[in-house]
Amino acid sequence: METFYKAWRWLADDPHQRTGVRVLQVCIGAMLLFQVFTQFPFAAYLWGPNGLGYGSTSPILGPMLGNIFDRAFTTDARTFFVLFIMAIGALGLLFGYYTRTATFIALVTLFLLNQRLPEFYDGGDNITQLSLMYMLFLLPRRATFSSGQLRVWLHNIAVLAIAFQLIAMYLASGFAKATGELWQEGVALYYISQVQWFTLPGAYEIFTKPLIVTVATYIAMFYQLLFPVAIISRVKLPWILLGILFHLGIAVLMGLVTFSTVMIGLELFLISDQEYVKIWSRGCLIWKHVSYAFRHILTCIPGLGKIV
Amino acid sequence: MRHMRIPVSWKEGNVLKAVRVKVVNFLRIITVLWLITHFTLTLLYVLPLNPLKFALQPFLDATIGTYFPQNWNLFAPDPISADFALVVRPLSSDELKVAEAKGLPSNGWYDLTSPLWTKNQNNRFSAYERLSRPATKAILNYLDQPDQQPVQLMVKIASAFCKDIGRRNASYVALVIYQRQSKPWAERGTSKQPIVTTNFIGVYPIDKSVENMHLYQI
Repeated sequence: METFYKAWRWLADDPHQRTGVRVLQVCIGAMLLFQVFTQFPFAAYLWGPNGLGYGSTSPILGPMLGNIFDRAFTTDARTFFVLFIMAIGALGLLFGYYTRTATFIALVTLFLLNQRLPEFYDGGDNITQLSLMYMLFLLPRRATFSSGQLRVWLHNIAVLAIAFQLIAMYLASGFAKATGELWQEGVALYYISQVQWFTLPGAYEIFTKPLIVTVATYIAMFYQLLFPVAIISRVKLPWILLGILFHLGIAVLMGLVTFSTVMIGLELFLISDQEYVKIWSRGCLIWKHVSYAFRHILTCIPGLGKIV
Repeated sequence: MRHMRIPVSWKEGNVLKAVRVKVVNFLRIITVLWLITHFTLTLLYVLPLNPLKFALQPFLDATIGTYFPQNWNLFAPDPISADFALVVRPLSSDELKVAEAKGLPSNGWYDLTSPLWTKNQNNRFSAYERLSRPATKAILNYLDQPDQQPVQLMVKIASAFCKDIGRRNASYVALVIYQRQSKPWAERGTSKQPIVTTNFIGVYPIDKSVENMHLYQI
C-alpha cells in the first residue's frame, strides 16, 4: 500500500523532468529545423503534387478528414507552406515559446509529410512522432501550476509515456538483435560498416579489427537489452552517458544525424530535475577547481604571474 | 449549534468540490489504466512473434499498428549487409526498338543511389542520406514483394533523373537493381571481390509530369 501511495504522490504532487522536457524540446526542435532547411529545396520533388509522394492520411483520419488534410499537397505552394509551418513549430520548441502549440504544429506537419512519402522517413522520425503525441500533455514551459492539479498529473503521465516508449524501442531492438546470428557472433557492425548507405570510408577498416568489432557489437546489443533495468538502477547516469556516446558514434559513422539528435534528447530527458541540479553544482565545483588550478599554474610560470 | 443555519451556497460548494475531486480521481485512474494498457499492447506489437501476439495480432494491428505504428528492426535480427543501388538507362523510342531486337545497350547506364551516399559521406549535415531513401526503400520493398507500388516509385525517381540530366528525348527508362553483398567476415582483408548481382525490373515509359529533382544536373 505504501508503494501505491508513493506512486500516487509522485504522479499527483509536482511535475517531473521539467529540465529533461526542455532538453527534449530543444533536440526535437533542432532536428526538425535541420530537416526543413536541408529538405526545403527538394520539397516539390518529394511531396509536391507531381513529386514522389503518393500516400494519404485517409487510412488513419478517415475519408472526410483525410481528404481535407491531403489537400496540403495539391499545389507546390501548399507543400512549401507545410514545411514553413513545420519550421515555426520547430522554432517554438527550440526557443521554448508556446511549447504546447509548437508541439501540436510539429506533430501535424511531421505526420502529414510522413504519410505523404513513408519511404522518406526513418526510426528517428518514428520516435519523434510518437514522442510529440505524448508531449501534447506536458505542461507548457512557463506554465504556472499548483500541486495536485489534474494538469500536473497529465504531465507526469506523459513523462512516463515518453520513458516507456523509449524502453519499448530499446527492448524491441535489443531483443531482435539478440536473436540475430551476426549479432550473437559479434560481427554485425562489420557487415553494417561495409554498406555504403551507413558508413564512412574509414569505418570499414576499424571494424575489421576483431577486438573493436566484437566489443562494439556486444555493447550495442547489451546496451539496449539492459536499458530498462539500468535506468532504474544506480548506473543510470553512466548508462545515459554511454547512450549519448553511442548515438554520437551513430551520427558520425552512420550519418544518421537527425535520428541521433532525437535519441540524445530522449536519453537526456530521463535525467531527473534533482539529478540536473546535482550535475550542475558538481560541474560548477569542478570548473572552480580547474580554473583555480589553471590560475595557480600560470602564476608559477615566470613572467605570466603579473598578467594573471 | 444543531439548529444553526448553514448557508446553502457553502453546502453546494462542498458538494461540488466533492464531485470535482471524484471526477478528477476517476480521470486519474483512467489515465493510469490507459498507460498500462497502451504500453502492454505496444510491447506486444514490437516484440518478436509469440503465442499471445499471434492471438492478438488483428487487435494490435488495428490499434498500435494504425495509430502508433513503429518498427525498430532496421539492423535486427539480421543487419543490412548489402548495397542496393538503382541503376537506370534512359531510352529514346528508337533505342527501345533496337533494345527489343538486340537487347539493352551496355553503355549509358546511371547509378542513381551511390552518388548520394558519397555526398552524404562528405557532408553529414545534408539531406543526401534522406534523398537516397525513397530509391533504397523502394528496392527493398520490391525485393520483399515485387508489386506495382515500389516500381512506380522507382519509375518516378528515374523519370526525374532523366529530366535533371537533360535527356528530354528519352521516352522510356530501363530499371535495374544492383546488389553488392558485404564480404563475409572470414574473407575480410582478402582480395576476393564481393558478390554482385543485378536484378532487371523492366522498361517503363518515362513519367513526363514528374517534378524536377535539382540534384543530378550534369
